[in-house]
Amino acid sequence: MAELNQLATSSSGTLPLDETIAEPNYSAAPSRRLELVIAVTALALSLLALWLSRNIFLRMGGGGVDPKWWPTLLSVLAAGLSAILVGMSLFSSPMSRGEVEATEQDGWIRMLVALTLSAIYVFAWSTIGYVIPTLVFTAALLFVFGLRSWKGLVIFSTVTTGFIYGLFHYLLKVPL
Amino acid sequence: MNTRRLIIKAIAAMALTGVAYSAPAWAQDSFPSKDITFVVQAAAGGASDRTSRAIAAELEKDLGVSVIVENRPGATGTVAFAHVAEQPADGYTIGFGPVEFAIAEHLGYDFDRADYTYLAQVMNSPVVLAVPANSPYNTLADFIEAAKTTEMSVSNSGAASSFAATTFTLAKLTEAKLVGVPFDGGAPAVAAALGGHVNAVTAGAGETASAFADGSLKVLAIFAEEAHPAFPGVPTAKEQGYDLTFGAWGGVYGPAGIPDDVKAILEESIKKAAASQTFLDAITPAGILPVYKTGDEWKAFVDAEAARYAEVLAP
Amino acid sequence: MSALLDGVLAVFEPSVMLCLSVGVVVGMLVGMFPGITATMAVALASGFTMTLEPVQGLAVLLTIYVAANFGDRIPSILINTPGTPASIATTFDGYPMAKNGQAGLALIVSALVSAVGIVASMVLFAGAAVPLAQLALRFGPSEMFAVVVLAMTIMISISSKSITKGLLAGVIGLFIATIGRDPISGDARFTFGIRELNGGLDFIAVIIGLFGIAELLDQLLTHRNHEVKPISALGRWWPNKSEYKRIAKPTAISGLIGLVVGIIPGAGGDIAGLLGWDRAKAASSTKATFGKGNIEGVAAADTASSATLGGSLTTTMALGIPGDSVMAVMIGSMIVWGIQPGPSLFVNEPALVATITAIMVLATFITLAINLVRMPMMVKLLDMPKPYIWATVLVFCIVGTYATTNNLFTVWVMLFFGVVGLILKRCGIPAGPIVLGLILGPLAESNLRRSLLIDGPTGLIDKPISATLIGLAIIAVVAALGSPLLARRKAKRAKATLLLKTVPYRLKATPPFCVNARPLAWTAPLYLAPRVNFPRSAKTSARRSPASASTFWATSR
Repeated sequence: MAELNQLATSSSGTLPLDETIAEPNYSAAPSRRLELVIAVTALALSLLALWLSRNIFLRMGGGGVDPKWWPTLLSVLAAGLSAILVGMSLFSSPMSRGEVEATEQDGWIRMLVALTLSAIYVFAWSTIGYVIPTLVFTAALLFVFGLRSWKGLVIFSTVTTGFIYGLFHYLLKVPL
Repeated sequence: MNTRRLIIKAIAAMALTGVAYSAPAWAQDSFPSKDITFVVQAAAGGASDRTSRAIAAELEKDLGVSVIVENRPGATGTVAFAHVAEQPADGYTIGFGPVEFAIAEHLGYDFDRADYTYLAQVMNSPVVLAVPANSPYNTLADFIEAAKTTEMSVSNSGAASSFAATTFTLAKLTEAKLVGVPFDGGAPAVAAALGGHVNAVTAGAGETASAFADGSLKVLAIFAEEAHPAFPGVPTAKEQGYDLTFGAWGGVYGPAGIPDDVKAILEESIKKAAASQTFLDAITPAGILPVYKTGDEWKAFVDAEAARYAEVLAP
Repeated sequence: MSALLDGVLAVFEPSVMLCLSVGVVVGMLVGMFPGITATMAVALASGFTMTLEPVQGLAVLLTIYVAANFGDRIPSILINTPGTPASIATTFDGYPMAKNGQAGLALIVSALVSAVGIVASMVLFAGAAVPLAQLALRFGPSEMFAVVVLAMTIMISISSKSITKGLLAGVIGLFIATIGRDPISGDARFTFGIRELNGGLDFIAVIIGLFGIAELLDQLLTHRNHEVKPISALGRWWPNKSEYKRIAKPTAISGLIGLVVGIIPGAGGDIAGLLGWDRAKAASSTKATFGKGNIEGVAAADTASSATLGGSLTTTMALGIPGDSVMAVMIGSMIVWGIQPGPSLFVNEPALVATITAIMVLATFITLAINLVRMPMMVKLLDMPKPYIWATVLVFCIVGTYATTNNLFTVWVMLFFGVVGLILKRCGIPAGPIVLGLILGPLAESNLRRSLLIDGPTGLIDKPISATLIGLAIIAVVAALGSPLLARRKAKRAKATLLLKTVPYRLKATPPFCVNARPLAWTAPLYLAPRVNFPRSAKTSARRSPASASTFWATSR
């Protein structure tokens, strides 16, 4: 988002060069350790995939280009590419992560709460139906994301729930 | 797996108690008193969906309650079958049971034919064997004889379908060298034959009808008891000396243990629906034949089919 | 001739026009709603169109088909969530454009080129459907495998920064696609006893997770409260003359690709969009900014995927073989109406062919008009405070995914891939190749094995079409892998010269990690221009992702 807004503010006018340097840099820092962790994890997962591929149970017996063949080929490829990544993370300078923004502490909380709420919502939906969980879920999300006006919470979640219900139930005839 | 089942069952039980509290007492003796859900094992748009929606619409008229069609595609239909099996056996959840009822268990799917109440068979789409128009073979015997010396590729709509089983059984029976080539659906299988990429195709009557009418495919045999109206002049396999019938049949089923009175009401209503003109109009243009069997007859048929597929699909 | 005219005029009946408007509304809505595809909408609509007259029914169904193709681009551009798989490639440049404050421009260009794509493909349909359809039949398993191999070379060009990571992502996608039942033998692979996995992971759930949910989670993670600026206030709506000129070439190239891919049964708008984007990139003079908000990328992706509509209609009507999943449903409806698609249709019922063409073209123009008028409103939606946008996106994605299978398992899959997508994004592993792998994986494996079953190993090379395509694929790989190496060598030399000339600016403005000299070469005009009057954004993006500066340079003049 930072990038968006930095870009957004700027195209309205041109500014002297110096001002840009004063702006904080929100992009994530490049890190050799991170790259190494990524590469090693990828390698471990590829080897796991290879093991799983070799252990596919075949009803009719295998041989030649059988159901195991394609996943095996892919996991070997993945292992090879991961090995290259391991090498790169050790021996070349860590890649810039300029396109990835640094995380915010609030952000972690916000994201984890949103995910937890989604999980609870999906459970609630399967138990007590669509309408009430959706109302509560939408309102709860809005609250977690920082909306504090009661009117906003009630009206917006009602409208959203109603719109989706109308679209599915009446227009598409899909039961929710 | 077990814990998941348990959770689902617990949730189902909770939902059930909820229903029990909210339903008025008289609901017990007059079925149906609320909406019925009709579960389809395929995505909206296919032959199963079309048949199911036609049946559902007729049931709705006859029973006077809404019949909501729910598409639950996935895993050769076993996702939908399992869902229905887990619902209360009160007749308010029924579904469309295709030929996979006789096949799924042989392929390692977690599926048991005994978990269901069989209400009625309503349709059958017989398998046909066709060759491209420029193929030198004009009868099934020509084709089989040729296949005894040279290997012939025969496309079908997918691994372990009734179409694949037809090729396999035919090969086993006649010792012809037929290689089944599974495609992702009936239409691509027919296209492969039209393009001359395979020597023949086994597909449903509906998928081959338009190519037959245009003359771009020659239909050599129909694997059914009787000739098919969409293929005038094409003999059955039996008439050509190969006593084999294969088809993509389908019927209506519910969870095991539907009470007899409810079952009777549903059976009666489905019988009417299966004979209705709207139902016929919906299925016959697609090459599907209306075939009615009562629940018990259908159950016996499914068991017999399952025994037959066990031989074909056994490792 | 009069039959043709009658066919066209049939569309202007009031009742047909009513059906058309219903189709536009439904199509736009389902297109925009992530998860609900045109296939689903057409399938559900075919239930109540069965009782209509054929022309009325066709008007509803074909218009949904067209309108959904316009609608699905909107969430791709605005929230990085493809409305349907056909608009996957639109996210590559559409969303970055929105982030650069050019959402309006992206939406308008997308709508314009979509219309161009559909109309061009319909011209071909009306004029040459029967011979084209015969071409489609020549694509058997070995030819399809060759097409897929050629399409796989795109992985190199959509790997944004690191080719190794991009290829790894592609292999991950291919591997994920093997989950489920084997296409040839029906054996279970990696299902771990979970019933739902037998059918494989639901593709739509995975793309909504990888694109939409992952982007949402990333925003939640990195959003800073103090920066709240409206998006719609910025940027132009209509392209200017130089932009029209720029999009002409990608539109032409990718339109052609879309037409061909559309005709091949089994390959649809998703593959066409990706291929079109890739080829346009290869031919572009602003390659480096593809994927970072290049207007040519949006034009290419959308022309290609829209141009498949006429192509799949061609195979459907002229062969009776559905060109895509929407058409598979449509054939069912047409048979009920007594229309038998096949070569004879064009001989016996020219009026009907004219009607279908007229419906498609008219639906395109109506939808285009609505799109152009209503775009500002769409973009205004993004000005809503963040809490509203986030909550809406999350709720819509969950409900839309649920609707694809009516099974909450699919929703879990989507949320899971949302988290996976976030992790991959933060690791610098791009989502594009994963999705490409997911699309191509099953096609590659099954067609290869079919081809081996039919002809044995020689089948792939002794057929002219497949041999040519595989040859092209090899050339594409060599070119794609070779050119960065060449460019790097060239750029190293360029960097040395640049260093001398731009020392004062470099000290202030370029980051220490601007090691890859190729992007630097692109920014050269910035550094060398006399009396530099930098837009601030150009500076910031030059600092963060050096290459994107040149887009800005190119578009902000």
